[in-house]
Amino acid sequence: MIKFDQVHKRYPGNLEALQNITFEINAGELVFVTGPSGAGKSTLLKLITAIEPPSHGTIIFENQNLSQIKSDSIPYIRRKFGLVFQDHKLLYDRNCYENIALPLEINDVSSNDIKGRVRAALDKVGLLSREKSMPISLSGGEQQRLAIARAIACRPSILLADEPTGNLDKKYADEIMNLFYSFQELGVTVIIATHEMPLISRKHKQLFLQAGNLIKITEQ
Amino acid sequence: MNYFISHYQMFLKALQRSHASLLTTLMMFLVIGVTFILPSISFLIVQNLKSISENIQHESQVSIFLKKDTSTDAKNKIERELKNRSEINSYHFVKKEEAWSKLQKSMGFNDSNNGLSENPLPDAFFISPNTVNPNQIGELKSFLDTLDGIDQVVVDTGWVKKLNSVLHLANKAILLASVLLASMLTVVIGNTMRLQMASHHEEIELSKLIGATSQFIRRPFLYSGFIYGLGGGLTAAITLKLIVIFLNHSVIEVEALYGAQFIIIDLKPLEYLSIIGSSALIAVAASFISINQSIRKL
Repeated sequence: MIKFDQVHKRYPGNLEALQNITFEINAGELVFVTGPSGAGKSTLLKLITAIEPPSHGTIIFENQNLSQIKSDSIPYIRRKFGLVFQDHKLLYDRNCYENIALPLEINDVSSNDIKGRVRAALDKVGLLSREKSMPISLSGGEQQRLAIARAIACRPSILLADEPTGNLDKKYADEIMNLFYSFQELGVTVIIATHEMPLISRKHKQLFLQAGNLIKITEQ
Repeated sequence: MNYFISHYQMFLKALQRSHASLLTTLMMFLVIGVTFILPSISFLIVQNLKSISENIQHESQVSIFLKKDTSTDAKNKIERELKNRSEINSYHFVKKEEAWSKLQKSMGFNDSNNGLSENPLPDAFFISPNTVNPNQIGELKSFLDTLDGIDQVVVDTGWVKKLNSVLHLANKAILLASVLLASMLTVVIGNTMRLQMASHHEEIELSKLIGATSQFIRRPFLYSGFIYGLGGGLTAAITLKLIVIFLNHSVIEVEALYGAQFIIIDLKPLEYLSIIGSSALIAVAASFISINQSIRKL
């Protein structure tokens, strides 16, 4: 599903974020990308979602070479992913319903379908009763669950989460991780970038990054 | 179908945004409206002056004074030529005796006290052309000059020509002022759209991350620009209409006082529509330029 072949990423100022990264992720896998802060985890996710282009190497996603993709096609590639950010990136001037409806509007889903799919996504993360609430009134864990609901609303085949439990205490963090496990059980490919080692399940594939190098791949 | 529904929803979203920042929206209506009123009033003044000059031209005459020794055959030939000319609406012939008698009557003297041994006036044709085009009247004069028996052809539209050239110049000045004002509007609307985009920066950034195309991001802002333009154009059109009604009301009072007949000619419905249309068009174009610049910077 995703294949990195000798991928390098260099930011302006000669900052080597990733060097010679090669790995493969198959459909339906749950993969942890781990390593200390500054190891290149977020950059790796940005390369997968075509937010950043690679400096060298090849990235193949669903038989498409992301290294050579035209800029016009990038939005359509991104629609195939569900993205969960550490800072949630919720819109605080819109209620929970409207936050989840945004990616559906972007995907040209009809307004009737939007209603059903928003409610289904809210139900999945246990926030159905907070449909009309503003995000500011939710706890940190609820806000992250809302962000996950937004990410799954379009029923993506692949879910990417960048430090999804970063600001949460253990109870909420476990709740969030359980959600990701349940998505994988439904056949969704899940990639989680995190530096919190206690959260990482040894049952799943792990990519260890350090200073921009992939130093170890642990298969399940 | 989804495409149109999506546009409709974006339009509603833009309306909601305009309503949410009502003061800014009203200010924009006013700025655009006033910018359009200025050249529109100038245009209205020029149109009215043009109409006055055209009326004068319609009333104007071409006078043909014949030579004293012009034969009856030559006179008949001239008359035949006048009948055949398409640019002549009507003409009449005034015999020199008739003219002399009228002049004496109006001046209050007769044959014995006028001091002249003979009638100094020539036979004359007076023509009312059916054209106001100075070129066509000039061609008619040139043709008449070539006919035998004609001493002098006088066209009394010289000053009207001057007025026309002044109005022509005024039209050009209005066009130039309109272009300058449109450029100013482009900057004002562009800046407003830039500010609007800045206030929705988080939403735009997130939308891009989750797969929104530039068209999707642009759409609600373009509709906002359209609403500003439409509102501004309507403000200009309504204000202009009220100005014309007000002035015509005042003119009726002047008519009553002086017995003169004069009415301010209003713009045609199509001209009102073109004010509204060009206002909306300029606003959308300005928004498009500004939004594209902002999206590229993201």
